[in-house]
Amino acid sequence: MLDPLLPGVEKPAAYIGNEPNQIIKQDGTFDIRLAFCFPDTYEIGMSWNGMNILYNIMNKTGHTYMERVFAPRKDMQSAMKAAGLPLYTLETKTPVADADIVGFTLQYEMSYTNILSMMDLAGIPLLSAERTEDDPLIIAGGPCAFNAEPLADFFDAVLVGDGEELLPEFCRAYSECRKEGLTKKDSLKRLSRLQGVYVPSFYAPVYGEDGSFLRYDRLEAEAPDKILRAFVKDLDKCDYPERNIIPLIEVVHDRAVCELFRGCTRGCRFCQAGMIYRPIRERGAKTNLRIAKAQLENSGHSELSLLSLSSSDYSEFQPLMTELIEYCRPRKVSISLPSLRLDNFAFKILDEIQGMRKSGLTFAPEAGTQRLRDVINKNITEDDILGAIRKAVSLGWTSVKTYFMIGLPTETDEDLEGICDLAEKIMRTAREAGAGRFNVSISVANFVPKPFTPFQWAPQDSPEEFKRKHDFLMSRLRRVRGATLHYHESFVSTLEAYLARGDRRLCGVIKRAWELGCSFDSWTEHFKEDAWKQALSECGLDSSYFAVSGLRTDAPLPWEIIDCGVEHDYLLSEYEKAFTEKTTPDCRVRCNGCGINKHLECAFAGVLSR
Amino acid sequence: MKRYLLRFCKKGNTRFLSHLDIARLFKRAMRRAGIEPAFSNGYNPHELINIVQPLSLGYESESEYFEIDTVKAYEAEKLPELLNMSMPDGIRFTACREVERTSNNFSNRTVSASYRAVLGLEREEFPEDISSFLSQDRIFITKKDKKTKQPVEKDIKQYIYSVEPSVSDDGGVVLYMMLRCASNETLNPGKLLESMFKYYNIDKPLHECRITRLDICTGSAEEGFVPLYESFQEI
Repeated sequence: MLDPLLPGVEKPAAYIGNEPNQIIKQDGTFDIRLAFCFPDTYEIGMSWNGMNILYNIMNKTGHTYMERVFAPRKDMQSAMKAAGLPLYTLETKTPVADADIVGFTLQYEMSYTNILSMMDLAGIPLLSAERTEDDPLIIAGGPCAFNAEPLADFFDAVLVGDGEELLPEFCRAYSECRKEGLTKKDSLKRLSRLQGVYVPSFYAPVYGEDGSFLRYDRLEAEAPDKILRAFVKDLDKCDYPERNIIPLIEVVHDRAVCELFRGCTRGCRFCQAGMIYRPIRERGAKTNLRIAKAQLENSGHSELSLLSLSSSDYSEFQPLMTELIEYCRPRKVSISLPSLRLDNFAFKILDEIQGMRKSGLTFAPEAGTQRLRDVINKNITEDDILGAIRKAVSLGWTSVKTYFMIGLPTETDEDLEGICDLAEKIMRTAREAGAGRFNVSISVANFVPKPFTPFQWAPQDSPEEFKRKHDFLMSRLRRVRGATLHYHESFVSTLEAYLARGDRRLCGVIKRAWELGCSFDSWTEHFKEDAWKQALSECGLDSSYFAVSGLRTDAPLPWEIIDCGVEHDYLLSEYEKAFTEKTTPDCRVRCNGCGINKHLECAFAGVLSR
Repeated sequence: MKRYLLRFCKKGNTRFLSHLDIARLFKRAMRRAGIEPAFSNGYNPHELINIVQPLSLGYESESEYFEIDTVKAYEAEKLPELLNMSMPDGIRFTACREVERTSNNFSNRTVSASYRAVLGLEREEFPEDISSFLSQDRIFITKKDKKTKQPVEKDIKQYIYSVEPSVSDDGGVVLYMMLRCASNETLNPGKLLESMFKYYNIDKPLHECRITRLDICTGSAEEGFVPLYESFQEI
């Protein structure tokens, strides 16, 4: 049935599976078939390392077979519907509706409508309440699962926190429930005892007369008051893939990947990853070296990427890099290092690994003035940047990329001027350092407040205000030769904030938007602003419902049904401190008391002061 | 330095893999198998490998050829086995020979390729005799101009060496074709079919035809084409 459709669609090879290193399990050799769905295209989903990690772990269990599913492009969706071919798993082409568990990863808000497309294409009723015992259990995880309220009506359970131990335990426990013949509801009652498992239907949100969120009424006695996220205690002991699936077609990132560590100690106040992945946990250099070698040998990749939120913070950075370079160079394997602080050692490394081909050098000052960088607690100074520019020019770089956010709390036009000034200073410094042709690219993201960050209460600029700021920057930067400005669609950012901080009433909006044809919303060419606006107004939730002026810090927050480990009071104190323009030191300098160490040892707290 | 010529087939869903996809797959398979290719000199050294003639996306093949240069010597008969360990279903290396390393790789030596096209048409839907089409003074196909991206007409009559209709066991029409396939000029069998369908007013989307390359040939129209596979023995 699939075969006749393929010649007529774009990127047919995204739908065939059949890649080297995929895992095929025979029916009857496992209890649970888990259809693991990435709600975007194959090319994007296959670039996400999290799927590699879970695929490896889940398929080593005896009880579960994890297969991959991606969102078919629109042309393929139409072709499948016309032919009556339901959404299937890539490995065995099993209909997704026949899986025992269907899991969605929530990586970014603008992928939400694709979840509905995929469920619809699978022939699974969208709402949890509409599904029967015959339908698969629909679950979700990932960073956006920290506030899954806008999708709560669609999911039977949400897994919050690190998935390496929780997901296999969840699947194992569910297979036990199935063997005992428990109903879905009774199974969910039992599963809700696992740390990190949130069953939305066990809690009913209560709203005040003014529409504000008040609290949840717990509907099941067994369900916990709050759901503490799942933690992996020791990353070094956590199984990590050494035999990745090798995509047959070009995907966004196609390379061997080592995760150096999880978490970050820097404490930027806007950054969700820096909060929800605490405490910082490293994988040892020996382990990483073994993983890197094994992955390269088993995949034949010619690129190795070292992932983390801040590579240079890795405590064994120098010895690991020295060994990796020694291994990779004769094998002509290139190394990429995102999130590197550009100190002297970093330049030495970059010079060695990039050789003659200088790829991009990036800085993320995030804000244009020191004052605003202090507000957001982004610990990088103008001197750091200009010093690095001088060094970069002397080593032969001819361009840099810089990343900024606009619409940050307390921002004024002076801070925007600061972005332009910095661009000018970079160009001047580069010229003075002897650069011939030099380019600076300025990427400006619109600030989106995220749950479980100090800025979760912060106001967001209106789309009009974002547009004004874009124009402001554009007109000022026009006179800076060698500078180019990139920015994002304004209303997309507005919507991201709605969905990121939304409560359960957003389920209706998402469903309506999807019915009006919204999908692949993160793709500029597919984004339908008018349809989203229509969905919002039809659901009675126009922009006035969303607290553009910021959330009250004394009011309950819908996502606080989840306990992310970092305490509410800490986030609030950081929020208040932001307005006094006072910075908070890196956790390695001293423990700032975020509360995570009540759950897990914080191995790096204060290490720099010892 | 050594050079090896390998033969492989590309069937089933792997027909949707592009020339570049295949090259990437092979490079990785070599790394995995520990077969070290020689590299070019220069700022961006690249593997000295060559897939003999690109095959259009969507076509299957019985015989494709892959050339690799290596610094070390390998046992030629072991190479297919080593590479097959990391091939997806559908792609299989079937033979390998060490060949003389000249500046002229096989892409520069081939002249034609043979194809089978299963049209998905019943016998009565297709003319019994297609000589009226073939005997035209000029046979035009529509191509996109590489620079202007505008469709342009091109006479490809000289690139058609033979087209023979036949009927398969299940009664469907099958065409066997021998067409120009050389480094300077190649005739895509799909383009020829489009032109033929237009001439006979046959309403058939091209993607419903199943096209398979049977072999790539050296030799000449005058003295006879020699499939690379047959010449494998004498290389």
